[in-house]
Parts: sequence; C-alpha cells; structure tokens
Amino acid sequence: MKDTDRYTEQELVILLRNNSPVAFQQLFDLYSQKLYHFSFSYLKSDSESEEIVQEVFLKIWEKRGSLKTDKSFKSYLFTIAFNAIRKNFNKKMKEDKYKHELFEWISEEKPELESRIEFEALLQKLDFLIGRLPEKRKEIFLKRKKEGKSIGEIADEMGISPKTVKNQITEAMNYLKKSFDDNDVSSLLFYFLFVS
Amino acid sequence: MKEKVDPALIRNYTKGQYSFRDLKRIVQWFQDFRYHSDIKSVIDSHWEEFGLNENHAEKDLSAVFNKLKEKILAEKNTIGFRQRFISVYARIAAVLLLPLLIYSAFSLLNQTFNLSDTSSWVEIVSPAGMRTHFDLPDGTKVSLNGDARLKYKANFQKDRQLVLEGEAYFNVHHDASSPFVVQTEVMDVKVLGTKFSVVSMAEENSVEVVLEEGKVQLLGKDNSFVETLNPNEGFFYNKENRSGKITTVDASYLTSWKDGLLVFRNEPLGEVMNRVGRWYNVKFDIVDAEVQSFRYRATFGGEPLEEVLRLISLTAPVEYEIKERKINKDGKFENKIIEVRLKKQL
Repeated sequence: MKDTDRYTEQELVILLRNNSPVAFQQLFDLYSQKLYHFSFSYLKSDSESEEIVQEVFLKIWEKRGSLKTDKSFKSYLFTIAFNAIRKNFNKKMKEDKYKHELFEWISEEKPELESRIEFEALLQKLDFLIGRLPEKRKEIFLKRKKEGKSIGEIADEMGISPKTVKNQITEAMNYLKKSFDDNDVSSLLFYFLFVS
Repeated sequence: MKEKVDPALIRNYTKGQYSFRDLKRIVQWFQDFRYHSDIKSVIDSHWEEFGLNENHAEKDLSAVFNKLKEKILAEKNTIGFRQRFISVYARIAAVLLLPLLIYSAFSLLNQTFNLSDTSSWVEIVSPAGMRTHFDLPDGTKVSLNGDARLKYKANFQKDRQLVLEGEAYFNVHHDASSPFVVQTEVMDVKVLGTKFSVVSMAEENSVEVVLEEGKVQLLGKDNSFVETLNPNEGFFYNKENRSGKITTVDASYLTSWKDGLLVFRNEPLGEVMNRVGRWYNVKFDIVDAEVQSFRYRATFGGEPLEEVLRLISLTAPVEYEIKERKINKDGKFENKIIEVRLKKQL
C-alpha cells in the first residue's frame, strides 16, 4: 500500500504546519530534484543550485507556521525559489561585471566571439590570465576593475604613487589584450588541458 | 525605454543557447526592478511546465537534506525561551507539579480504555519537559517524553499490555511467548521484538508510530485496519478522517528526543533551577521567593552554564550573581553558588 497510498500535498502541508519532520522530508523528496535542475538552468552552477535547494527548504521550514493550505504549495515554493535564484543571479552577475566589461572591450571588433561557448571559454580564460598576473599587479587590477576603486584610493591604500597604479593597470590590460589577441586553438587547448 | 521581456530568449538561456548580448539583456531584466513582475511571470510559467526528463541526471541531494536536518535540530536546541506571566492558577499548578517529578502509583482505570479485567495497573508519568527512562519488569527499556503517561498491569510479565498517552520510545525485550502490545486511543501496536516510538496525544489530531528496528503490527480499534511496519517506516493516523498511511522515515531522527536534551516546557523557574543545578553541579540560592513560580519554556542542548544563566536572565525577570567558591574546613571547594533575585522593576 505504501507506494500508491501517499499523502496528498495538502495533507503534507497540514502536517508540516504541525512541525512534522516527516512531512518536511516528503516535500523535500517531492520537489528537491525539480528545484535543483530548475535552478541549475538559470545559474549554471552545481554548488549554487544546491544552495538554492537548501535555502528554499530552510525557509519553508522556518515559515511552516504560516503555510496556507488553500494555496498551492508548488506556487509558494516558486515564490521563494524565484527570489533566491534572482538574488543569486544578480550577485554573480555583479561579481562578473568587470569581466563582462573587459570582455566587451576585448571583443569590440570581434562580434563572432558572441556565441555562448566562446564567451564562457573566454571568461574562464580571463580568470586564468588574471590569475597569472604578478601578485601586486593583480591586486591593483582587481581593486580597480572588480571593486571599482579610484586610482587615488588605490594609491593611498597601498602607499604608492597614482602614477604607479596607472602604469600597473595599463600593463595588466595590455597583457590581457595581447593574450586574447593570439587567441589561437593551441592556447585554448593548452588552457583546457592544464587548467580546467 | 522599457523593452519586453522575451520568454523565448529566457528559455533559450536556460537551455544554454545564448549570446553575450542575450545574457546582458537578461541581466538587465533581472536587475532592473521595472522588469521584476514581467520576468517573474515568465519564469513562473517556466516553473509550471518544468518537468524532469532524461537530460536531468538524478542529483544526489542527501547531503543537502542532512544539512537541513542539522539546522532544524540546531534550531530546536537553541533557546526557545518564552516568558510567561504567572497567574494564580499557575502558582497553584507549580506547587502541585513539583512533587510529581516521577509519579508512579497504582490506580484503577478502565473508564477510558475498554479492558476486561480490573486488576491493578501501574502508571508512570513523565511531567512536561522531562524525559523519563526506565525498564519494565520484562527488561524492556522505555523512554517517556514530556507529558506522557504509560500504564501497565501489575502482572506485566505474564500479560505485556501497556496503555500509552503521549510520546514513548520502546526497546522491547524479545519474548516470543508473550506478545507486547501498546494500546493507544485509536489502535494497538503489537510488537515482535523491536525498537519503536509511539506518539498518541489526546489533544492532538494524529497518532504516530515510528519503527527503528524489528517489526510491529498495528491493529485499529474495532478492526478498522491492520498494518505491518518495517524498519524506518512510520504510520501516521489522522483521527479526524480516521485514516492512516505508512511512509518511509528516518527513524533515528524522529526518535532523537530520547537521547537527552535539557527541555523545559512551562515549568516553574524553581524547578528549572533545580535541574540546571543538577545538570551543571551548581547550587542556586533563590533570594526572592516569587522567582520560584515563574514558568519557563526552553530547550538547552549543551550550552555552557554561563550561557544558560545569561539566557534565563534575558528572558525572565531575574538577575543572577555567581559567588566565589568557598573552601570548606576540609580544604575542599564547595559547590559554586549562584544567587538569583527578582529583577528590580523600573
């Protein structure tokens, strides 16, 4: 009987409202796979999609007392999931903003780079190349591009002259642009084989 | 100018077909509040029709569930203090409750349960907030959760019949010749050597049986149902629509209360102090007698004494002072004494 005779969703919600961990587990079993893959389709990241599942269900547990039995649990779950996905997506895009800008700058004259595969590969390549900058240059570069600090601020913070800061950024940009320009198959291959 | 959120573009993005330009548009839709409701409704309809198919490999989410479980348990263990102002009735109740730590008495009761003979019964009561552990005469180990009562016949070894109200966990001593039966309001749980837990609260609408090990048979009153439970299965009976269902459960999780947390459920502060004192081996000196009867609700799961005291004083109208430990004349340290007073009203 136990395979066919399951609780209805509404019954599970009533049980959950009465603090039943069993009902919680069953709702998790019902929706976690779907939620994971749904989140993944937007965030393209395994760990972030897992986090969404965790965040959403934790919220459901915390809000169990105010669950409505006359409303669909599925839509309730969506509302929480949408906000979590949106928040995560925006955060990620904010972190990547400087890379997008760089990418635009680099691909100005190369519209063919716009396909997703190219784009993703290049973003990863960019990460890799930034990682290869000399420590101090990388620090200055990220302060400027990622954190959006002004040349003056960086100079003050690091106790160096604004001119040095400018030079370091120019060096970094030139290096990146040059590395992207000889964007031949072998360098991509090298990158995929040894780095990712 | 506001453009239109393009559902096809979003759908393609979720399938991995998008250009950098597409991504930038989606980022704008997500970030700009003017698009909030549009993009939400587009994604909502995606969610409504989203189904798992062969492209979605089953993802192992058990680690995620375990983390959730930990958080949920941790939440239970942390302070759930709720201050309660006492009424005259509560004061009376407090006085009555104190001597009832474990109440064990003979009584005649077949008013509530339809039992044929009138031989004497033993009753064990676990007061609110306490877990009571004991062995039955046949060697069965029982844990009673707060506010539970268990009755059994004086000739228990011959006739292993129990009546339960509340939550209990049993580790049954195996004896093939004598069936072990727990009666609840709506069903009998018949056991064949096993570890299981039963919850049957008079004021609640459901009766639960959770099986950890072995096998039990569930017999509904008036033959309304007969079910057999296997390990890690739970039976949940709804008294209102008079039906029950078997579901797979994590039994060790559901029975974890028996493993001892310091739990208080509307207990007088005097009693709370007694138990905290025994738990941490300290003595409380209650200066203002009114403090005794304030009622408290909290669960502690191993916090240090100072933290427990701090939490009590935060949520109760009391203040405390930890006294220097004295050395008695044998040269030994005496127990730490904690003075508790009524907080001065402002």
